[in-house]
Amino acid sequence: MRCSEARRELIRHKGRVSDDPGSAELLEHLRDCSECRQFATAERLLADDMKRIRELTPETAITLEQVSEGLRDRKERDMQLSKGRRLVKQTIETIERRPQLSIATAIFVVLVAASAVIPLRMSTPGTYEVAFAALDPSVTLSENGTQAMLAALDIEGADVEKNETESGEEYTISRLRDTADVRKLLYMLEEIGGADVKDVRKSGQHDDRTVWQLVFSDKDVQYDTVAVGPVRNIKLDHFSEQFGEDFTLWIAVDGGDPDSMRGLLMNREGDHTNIQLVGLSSDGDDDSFGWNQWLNGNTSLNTRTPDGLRREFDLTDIKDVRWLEKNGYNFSLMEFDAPGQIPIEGLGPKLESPDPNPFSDKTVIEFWLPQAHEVRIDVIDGSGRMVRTLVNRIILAGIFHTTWDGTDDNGNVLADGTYRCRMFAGHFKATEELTLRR
Amino acid sequence: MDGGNQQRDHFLELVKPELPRLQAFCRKLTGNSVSGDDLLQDALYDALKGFSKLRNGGAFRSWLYRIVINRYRTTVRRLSRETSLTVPLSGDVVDSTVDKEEYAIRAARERLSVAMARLSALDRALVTLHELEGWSFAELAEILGKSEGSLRTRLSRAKKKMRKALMQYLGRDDGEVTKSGVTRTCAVAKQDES
Repeated sequence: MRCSEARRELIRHKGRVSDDPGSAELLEHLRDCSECRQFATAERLLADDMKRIRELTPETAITLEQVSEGLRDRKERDMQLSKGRRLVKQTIETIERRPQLSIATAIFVVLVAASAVIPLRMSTPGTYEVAFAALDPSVTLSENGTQAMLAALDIEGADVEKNETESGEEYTISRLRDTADVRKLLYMLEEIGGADVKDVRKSGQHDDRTVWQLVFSDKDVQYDTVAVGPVRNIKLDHFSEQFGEDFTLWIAVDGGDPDSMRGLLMNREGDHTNIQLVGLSSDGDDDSFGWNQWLNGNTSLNTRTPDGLRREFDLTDIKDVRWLEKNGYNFSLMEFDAPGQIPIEGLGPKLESPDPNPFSDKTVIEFWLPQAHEVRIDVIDGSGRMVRTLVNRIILAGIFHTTWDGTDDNGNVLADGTYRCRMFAGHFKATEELTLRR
Repeated sequence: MDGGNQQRDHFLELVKPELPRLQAFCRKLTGNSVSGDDLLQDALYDALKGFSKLRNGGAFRSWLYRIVINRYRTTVRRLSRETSLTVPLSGDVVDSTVDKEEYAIRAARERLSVAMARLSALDRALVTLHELEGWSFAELAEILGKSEGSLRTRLSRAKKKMRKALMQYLGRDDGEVTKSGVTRTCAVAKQDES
């Protein structure tokens, strides 16, 4: 029997061979042909697997109410996005028209160094503050210059406070009236360059879900000199939510070109903010110097500089990042888990037991990721219903935590009892029990 | 505003009987309930936006499924450019408390994920609808706007690819990792060698 005939028979019988006399020839062929044996196994598995999946019923059926609510939420989100995009475009146009700067502001401009990357907020008006410092600690920021800048931007009623920190002087501009003022200020800081924006907070109002936008300036800056990077027409393509207070990833697309997508990873360790610029691009080609340097979770890059010396760069240090960017280095984002990859014990993602547990006020759920994943963490009640989504976003490698305060997605306080915390990350799934006891 | 609400209500009325099967299709197409439900919501939103353009109410089901498939294709295309998401066709991995049946389901999902990895989005939709959801070729022809004959041929080719992918997967050496779906790697490259 030829292989082609054998395989036709195997397809007809879904990879199974009976032991009746009519199948003798096929059986004999399979005894001698390992490839056809493998074919038979694959065919059988495919048929069985498809049958098994076909017979599955959904764990939870979506209701019409959920669909209706989902449609309303989407419409609202789309409206917000359109509004946000219009605001950004208008603000960029305003900046590019350049208001008249006072002499004090001009001096301020001279004093600062390389450009910053700035997060924006798209939310309702409130009371805001922006904290920033010079990237180069040897640079002195002028308080008068800052005040003059605010005046030039028609920002009224804001307070300027200077703080001495270990890394140099740091300014906090507080009592900004609304997001328009924040944007104006941030764009100006971006435009004149050199401000390492530490934080943008909304104070006096609790906001669970915050959508951030990233404005990424042109990389045409020079380190150690006055830097004014032209602001491009940025198109916002993707938003990620702020996760707790410790970690944020922002993503923007320049001019609608997906290959230009850039991300900024900021995470806090105590008082220190690590800033890591990441590029999100498709697979590169192999004809670039240093292409085969796979970082895979490391934050340092060992490479040869243009003067031929090897040097180690710290990718959490903004100065090193700036140097690399200036010298043409391009960064790509951490690899995500590939479907089909079987995790090995001890090397996969992990969900820790919540602490405290039982809890009355809030509990902290720690998890770690050896490499980037799209992560989802939900809370499920005793009846199997999902009551709260704690995390639903892309997260890079590291150890993170989220908290749950015993409320559902709408802020309603839930009843005491046993819940499950369920985490998905690529292939990984884990659950931990939680007990709420007030 | 009232006209908009009426249209939305009418749309939801038509969607209601389709929901269970549609949800099952989306989940099987994407390989997990989370992505599947996301796909479902996205597609329903697309459908609602285009609902006023639908002339033939009798063709609602096939129109709706076409929208789901198109949305899925768009998602797969976008994911192949971005590094932000993979499309996890396989389900969840085993933990120590999983029972035998659940393990078998996970293993089945894993293998199907590998098998479907190199299929186009349209072929995946075809396999999912016919093999996993039990749609007939006549129904598929209506949704996809192709002849039954061409769909049969297409499905046969798709299953041939699936078989080949699975054979390679089964025949791999121990320790080798087979990657399927979309992957992106972390690398540093110098942009300009000069």
